[in-house]
Amino acid sequence: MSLATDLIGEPIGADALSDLRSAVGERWVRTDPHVLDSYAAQPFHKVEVGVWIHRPIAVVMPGDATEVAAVVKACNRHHLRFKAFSTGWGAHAGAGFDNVVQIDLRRMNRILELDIENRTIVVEPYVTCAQIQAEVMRHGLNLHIHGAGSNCSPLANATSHMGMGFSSISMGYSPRNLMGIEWILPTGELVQVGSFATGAGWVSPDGPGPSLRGAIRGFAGADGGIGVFTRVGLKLYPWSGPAEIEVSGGSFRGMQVEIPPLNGSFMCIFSNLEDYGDALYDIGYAGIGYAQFKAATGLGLAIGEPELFRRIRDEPGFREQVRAFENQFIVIIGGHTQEHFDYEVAVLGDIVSEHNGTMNSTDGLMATGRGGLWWAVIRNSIAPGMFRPTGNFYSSMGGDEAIANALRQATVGEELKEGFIAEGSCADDLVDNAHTLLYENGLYAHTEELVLYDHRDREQNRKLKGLSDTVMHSIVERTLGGGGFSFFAGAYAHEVLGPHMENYHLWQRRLKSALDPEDLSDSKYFINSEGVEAAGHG
Amino acid sequence: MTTPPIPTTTPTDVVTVAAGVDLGNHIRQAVSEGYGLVARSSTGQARHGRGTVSGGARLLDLSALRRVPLLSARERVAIVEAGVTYRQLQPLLDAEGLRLCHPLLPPAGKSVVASLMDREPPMAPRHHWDFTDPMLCAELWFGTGDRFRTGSAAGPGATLEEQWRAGMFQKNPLGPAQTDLAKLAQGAQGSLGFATWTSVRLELRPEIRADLRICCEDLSRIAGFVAAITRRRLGEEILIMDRCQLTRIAEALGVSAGEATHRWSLLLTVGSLPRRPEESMAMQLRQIEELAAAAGLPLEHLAGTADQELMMAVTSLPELPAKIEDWKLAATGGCRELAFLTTLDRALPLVDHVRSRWLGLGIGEGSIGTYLQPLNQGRTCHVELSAFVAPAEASTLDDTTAVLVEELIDAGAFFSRPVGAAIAPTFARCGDVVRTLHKVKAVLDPHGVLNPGALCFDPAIAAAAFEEVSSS
Repeated sequence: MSLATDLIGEPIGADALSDLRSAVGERWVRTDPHVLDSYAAQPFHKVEVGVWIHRPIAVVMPGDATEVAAVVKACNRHHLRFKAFSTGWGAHAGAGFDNVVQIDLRRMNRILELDIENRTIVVEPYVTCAQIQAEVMRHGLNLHIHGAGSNCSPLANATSHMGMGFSSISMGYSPRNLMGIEWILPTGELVQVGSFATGAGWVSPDGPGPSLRGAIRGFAGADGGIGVFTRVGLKLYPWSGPAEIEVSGGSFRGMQVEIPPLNGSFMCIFSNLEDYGDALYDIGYAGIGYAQFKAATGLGLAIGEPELFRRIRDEPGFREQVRAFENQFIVIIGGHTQEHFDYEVAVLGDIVSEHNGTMNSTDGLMATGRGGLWWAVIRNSIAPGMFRPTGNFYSSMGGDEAIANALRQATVGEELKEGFIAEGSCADDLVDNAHTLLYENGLYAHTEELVLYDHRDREQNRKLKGLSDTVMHSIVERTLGGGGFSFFAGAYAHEVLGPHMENYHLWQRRLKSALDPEDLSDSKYFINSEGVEAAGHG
Repeated sequence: MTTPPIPTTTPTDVVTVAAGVDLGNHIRQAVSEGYGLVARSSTGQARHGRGTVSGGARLLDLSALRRVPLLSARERVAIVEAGVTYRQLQPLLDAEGLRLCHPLLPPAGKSVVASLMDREPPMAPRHHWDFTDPMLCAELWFGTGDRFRTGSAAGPGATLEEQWRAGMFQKNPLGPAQTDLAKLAQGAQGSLGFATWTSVRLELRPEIRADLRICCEDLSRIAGFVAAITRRRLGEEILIMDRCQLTRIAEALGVSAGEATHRWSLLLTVGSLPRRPEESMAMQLRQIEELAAAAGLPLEHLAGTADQELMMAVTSLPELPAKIEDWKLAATGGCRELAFLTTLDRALPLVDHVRSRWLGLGIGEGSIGTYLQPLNQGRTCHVELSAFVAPAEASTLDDTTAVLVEELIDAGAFFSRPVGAAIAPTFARCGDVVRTLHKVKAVLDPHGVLNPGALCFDPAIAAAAFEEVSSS
């Protein structure tokens, strides 16, 4: 499949190319069409029609922050938009317009500092969560892994995107795990945000005085629209397992893992939504749990056994049988001592019992073998499986608030998705797959209504924007948390959501203008500067 | 780079803002008539001279805003208006079995909102997930006169009542959307926005409590132990003080100073968890005892001892004796403070450096108190040194503070919340930050009416910082 011609801009000018080569060295600037095309194949959460995103005008691969700053300054001199790329995942990681220089940060892949005593690590953009886990688990530590999974960059997530994950109940939300940020402004100046700015190490991401974290990101990140981030400090959390885990079998089917002592994984099933919700509140009060999430029934089967799922989905009675298990969640317990582990398991059992539920080991769930699901959650290797059933998916809802509101999001999301399935906008996954998890001892919660679709299916591809818009308007009309994943829809989402949310879009735009007056840091998934027309959506 | 305008034409006066009044009108009037505004929510003498009128600004007194519009035990959240003090809020929380993690012995008139907006250090690191905690959402007023509610309080849902009906309780502290204006206003000392309320995360009050203490000469051993227990999120309040600090608090509160004979005292409370309370206490205490034994530290249980009274007073919000608004000012009527962040394992050389400088200036050994507060689930340490001196003596310290701050920054201290003489040397080290904050100020306070000249928005401080950028 070749790239649509309307997504290919003009070739880069000789002067600009020369400047970029001066910034990083000739070897690290690529304009070969086949290389550029590879950056245009990022169809996740692309809500416009078509498979490809824009092909960048050049790809540059800086080796450090100084080179990144030089690249950004070169882009400013030649009035070229630029977009940072770490490990990628979707359209928001790629060029949002024609003539964008893609700054691929893959050479910046080093763990720079590890402070075991104070549970902090300093990393560059291309370090993945899996890399960090491998380093820190030997010291009894772990990190929060966001929804995209362990193959992704925690820097990109914490600075520039969202930050929910299975471990949110005990490790929070990614941007709240920052301990400092090195930031190349859209104009090319380097800013050090937090304590390391004055040479004090990575002890605080805020100050002196106001915290520039607030200009960098909010609930969502700017997805490349507010400069480039070249180094962050991140918090680490305790890990009670061994330095290494023996894993055998495939990535999903029949994966066998010996769950180590002090660790366990339990599925808790309830007969109705009210009991399920009350149990979530009680888990929050109790202060237990290392990881927690709802394991969507239809989706779980679709990920684990996509072929089988497609074959049996429409068998008589199958849907009803699976939906009978929809009010459930999985809790991973990690104890510091045997007594602590036993206590948390007992408390979980008490809560489940009080709410008329049942509690079982997760061994064998989602077509995994013994311990497989436990490790898939600790490692967060489930997320990429989302592409298995139909080739692509879309996340909706996600405006995080009280558990009560998160449950409403699940109910409304299910209702909306019934309609999407009926009109052929997405695949039938038995409807129930609202993925709900708790943050920080259950203070608030996240609901994600996932929609499976095939971006190569022209009809589904065409209907995705309508689906996205329907959810966005429902969020406003039915008071569902906040913008959530609607920000994936691109800059135009702000014109819909902003007037209903304190006109935040006006302030966001003014800040963008103040920091990026020429609107060169690709604002497709952020917001365009005041007085600068967005290059169109779709 | 231009610095923000500083209004100069105004008389100093005080306007008390009544409940329900649109703060935007006051701000728009200041813009139109060209004078500055300073807001104050607390009452009584300010520790750092903040909230006073300088440069001809008008003082907006927010202390009359005293409602608690939301208090929910189910959601573990409350909304408090700017004038609500810790001591006013506490009985309301007690009645619901809740607690708000608070800083060490706030003055009687200390506003909860002011304390949170200033990122004051709370005493319970296990509940301190991020530096903004326990603040969640806020109602802010910018220098344009516009109101802005942050986090999930932004909506959707046009009113708080509408949001409550939909199950939204102003809990998500981030955003809205892709900027976080609360983080910009927090720590800005009113220079980027005034807050009229904040929502706060609350914790369940433990049924059973244990008061523990470790006395030791060697801070490094205490640091290792604190790292071990905070890694497991054990303990509620965890704080470290030296003898002088404990003695001064005890004297101010009228309780026994106890028998702390060593230089350092680690005060540690343990609370039962809501489920299986006795079992949870035993489980936590066993871990703490094992970790203390492994570190070779003597763990004392204070239940039933004379020392427990002081422990209870330090970790709670005790009634202050008559005529005492602030324990720090009780003895001499004055106090000078240096507060910064580092890690607990790096704190001692910094502490000793300050002590050495102050002793050299003739401050007595018994007048220098040290307080170390683990934060951020134990990853960070707030270091606070207090010189309990009479106001007349304080100027001796003031003259040397800027140099001392320079030395501390060189040695690795981070002045996250600089005040007074610490402001200039701190911002001089980060011209890149100052330059960016000025761009932010131009958006949120384009006329420069909010606390003119505060922090790095003082023209002289900004000029020095910009010089640092251009020379680096």
